[in-house]
Amino acid sequence: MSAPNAKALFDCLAIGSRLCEYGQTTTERELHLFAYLSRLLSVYEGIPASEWGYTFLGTESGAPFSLEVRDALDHLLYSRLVFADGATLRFSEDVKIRVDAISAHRMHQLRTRLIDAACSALTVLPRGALAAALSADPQLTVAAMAPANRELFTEHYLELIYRQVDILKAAMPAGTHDMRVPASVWMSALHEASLQ
Amino acid sequence: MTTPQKASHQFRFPEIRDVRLQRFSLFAAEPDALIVADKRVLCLVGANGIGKTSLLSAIVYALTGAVPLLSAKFESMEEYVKLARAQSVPFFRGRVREDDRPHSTVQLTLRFGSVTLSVVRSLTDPDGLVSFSRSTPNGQQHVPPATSTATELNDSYRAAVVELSGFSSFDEFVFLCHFLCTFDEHRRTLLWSGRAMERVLFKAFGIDSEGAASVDVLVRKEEKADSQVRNRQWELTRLRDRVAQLSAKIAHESQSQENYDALAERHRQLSETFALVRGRLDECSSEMHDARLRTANLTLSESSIRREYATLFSESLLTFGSTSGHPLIVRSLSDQACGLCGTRSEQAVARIRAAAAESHCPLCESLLSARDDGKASMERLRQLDEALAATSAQVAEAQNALHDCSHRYHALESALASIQNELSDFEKANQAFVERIRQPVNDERAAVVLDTLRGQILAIEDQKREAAKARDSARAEIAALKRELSKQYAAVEGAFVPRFQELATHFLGLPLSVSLDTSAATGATFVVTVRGSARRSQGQLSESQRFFLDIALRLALIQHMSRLDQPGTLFLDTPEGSLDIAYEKRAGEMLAKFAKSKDCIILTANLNSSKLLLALARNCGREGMKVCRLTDWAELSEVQVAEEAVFREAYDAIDSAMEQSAS
Repeated sequence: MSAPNAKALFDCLAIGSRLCEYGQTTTERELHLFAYLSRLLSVYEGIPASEWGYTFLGTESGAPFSLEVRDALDHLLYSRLVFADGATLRFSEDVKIRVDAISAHRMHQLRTRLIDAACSALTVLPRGALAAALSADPQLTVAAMAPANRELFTEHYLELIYRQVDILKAAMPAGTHDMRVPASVWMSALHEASLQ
Repeated sequence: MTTPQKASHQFRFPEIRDVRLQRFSLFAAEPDALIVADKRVLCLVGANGIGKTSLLSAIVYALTGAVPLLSAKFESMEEYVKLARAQSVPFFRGRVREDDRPHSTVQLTLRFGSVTLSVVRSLTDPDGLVSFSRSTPNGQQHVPPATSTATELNDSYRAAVVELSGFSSFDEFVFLCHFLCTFDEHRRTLLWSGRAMERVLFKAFGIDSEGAASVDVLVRKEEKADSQVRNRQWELTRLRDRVAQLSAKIAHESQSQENYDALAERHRQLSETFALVRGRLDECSSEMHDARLRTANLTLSESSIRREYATLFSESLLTFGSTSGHPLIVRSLSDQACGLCGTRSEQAVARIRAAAAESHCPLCESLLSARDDGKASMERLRQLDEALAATSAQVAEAQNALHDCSHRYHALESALASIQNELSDFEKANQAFVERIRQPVNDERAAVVLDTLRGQILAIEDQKREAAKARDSARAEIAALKRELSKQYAAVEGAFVPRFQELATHFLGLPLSVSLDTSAATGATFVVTVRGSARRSQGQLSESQRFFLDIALRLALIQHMSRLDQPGTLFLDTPEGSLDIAYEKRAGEMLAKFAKSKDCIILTANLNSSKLLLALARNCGREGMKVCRLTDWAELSEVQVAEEAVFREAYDAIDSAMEQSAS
């Protein structure tokens, strides 16, 4: 097995350990979803694309997918840090301990903030509703209908995203630094759009 | 092209074995003192004004026939030695009683390898010797014939020194003893001494003496030619001004003088401004070069740390976990029943729990890959993360500094172009002015003068071109020699730089390095970098740092140049006088490190509470150091006599320090 993408590995672990707190479980689909949401928030923060470290693809179903996240998950399963029970994934206690240690590194501070903000969207929407909200994301919607342009966050799609970001920033109170606020507002707005 | 030499450990510096004075009346109680230098460090200790500098200078004088010169304006090594010899006799006037001076001598016994030389030199005759002899370890002695004159004895000594040391001339030996091996009361640094440093570099790193000597000749040739270019230019300007003046006089006599004065003043202002901006641009260029290098090094360092982090990150996270997280195990433990067969008993559950914690599979009992709690790699990751944060901050700082420097450089470039255009326009306009006012001449004589002047202008323009050609040719030859020097240095840099760093870093306590710079207008030199920042001028370091970095460089050069079986000797005159208290102990340790390798130090020191002397004593001990109490030899002043108890206390402290090392 070749070494996994280090950033995708970190994101998998960080997202997985947050979603599996208090004995809960998660799924591979949720890992891709929350990684994608974190990536969206990185655009909001103005972080250069090259910093993210891996790519996303749109799918026919409208869900986001990352090959690197899939590969990282395979490694975690192989190392018995994650266990699969059908479609359900359970992250072991070992994972939480390791993630807590490395999340404190300056190297990961920004990423940790983005993932925390993404996972905090669960305080306003349950998991099912969040997945539905993201399916209303303009980038994913367009990519679902364009098999030739499935790679996300390219020039082809950035205009769509920047428009959303500009609207969101205009709606934010001045001096908002907590990423959880725009994350929740954004997902709530997408959820409303998905109901229409 | 010069012949490359073996670059390291080629020469023998002299090892002083003993010093005997005769009628050296500065030391009233011991005018005929004998000092045996049988330890690596010989320390001549005394109070202020007692004659320490005079004694050390006398030793160097006996060795080289000259006292180190204070103001070093010389064009060649040979010129320096001539000037130093000429200053030597007046040096001792006033230091030794007048009726003793004609009879005062200094005798030295010194060794080069297995050969011992003994010289006796009078304080009033630097060009002759009172006696000279040479002997080998098997007892064979060579004594020149008894009829030999003082000059002939001196010639024999000089020839012997050249033969045994490996230097190519006695003048070269004197030059190196004075500039490299002596740090005297004048505190003249080698590192920032321009041509002297260049000469030492050529010798130390393998350019042969012919090549090194030709640098002197070429530099003089280049400077002379450059001076001729400037002089011719000045003459041309003057002649053109005269032509303008004369022409103007023919047509508009009263007005032309004012115009001429105003024009001349304006030209002078523009030329001065041009030179000033040019100078600033050159300085900024050096700064930018240093800043670029620093940024590149730091960025490389940052990339390297990131790579290491990324590699270790995956390796340390993907260590195998236990089976206790497997859904079947989790369900079994939460349901308190075996998830496979459904058995509900405390024993069964306890067995499942124990098995999950072990290194065997609870189901088939296969041996699982060893678990690793990953603590060591987590700790390493944390260290790398901190290092990366620090380096990233330094990169940002270096990039800002480079950006500022670049911004200033471009501004200066624009300013220079602007002033250059203005000057050029002015000169063209001035020419046009001259041409415009040239009119059919009424005065025949004035016309003849004008023609003569114009003829002279043409001739001088030719001379200027020739001088420029000669200057450029000399510059090209100098550049070739410097390239050769760079090549030779590169071959030994890996050994030399760590040698210097070992000595200097201990003293300074800051990361530093040294590199060869052959691009400087002042000649090839070393550039010392402290904390990543180049210190090209002396003012960029404190006095303590400046002097002791210079001493560390000399130590490293002596170690590099001297043969492995021959100690080099360094002469230091009250080095602690240049230090602030924080550095004294470290300076003593640095000197002790040098002496412990194989080399020798003869130093003078004030009898005070200096930690340098105590650190040196502690590190060398009685086995490595000898103290000579000059206060016992000299006539003390009233104040000094009254404080003799303080002197004794200070000597006792040195003795204790030497004893501490022994125990």
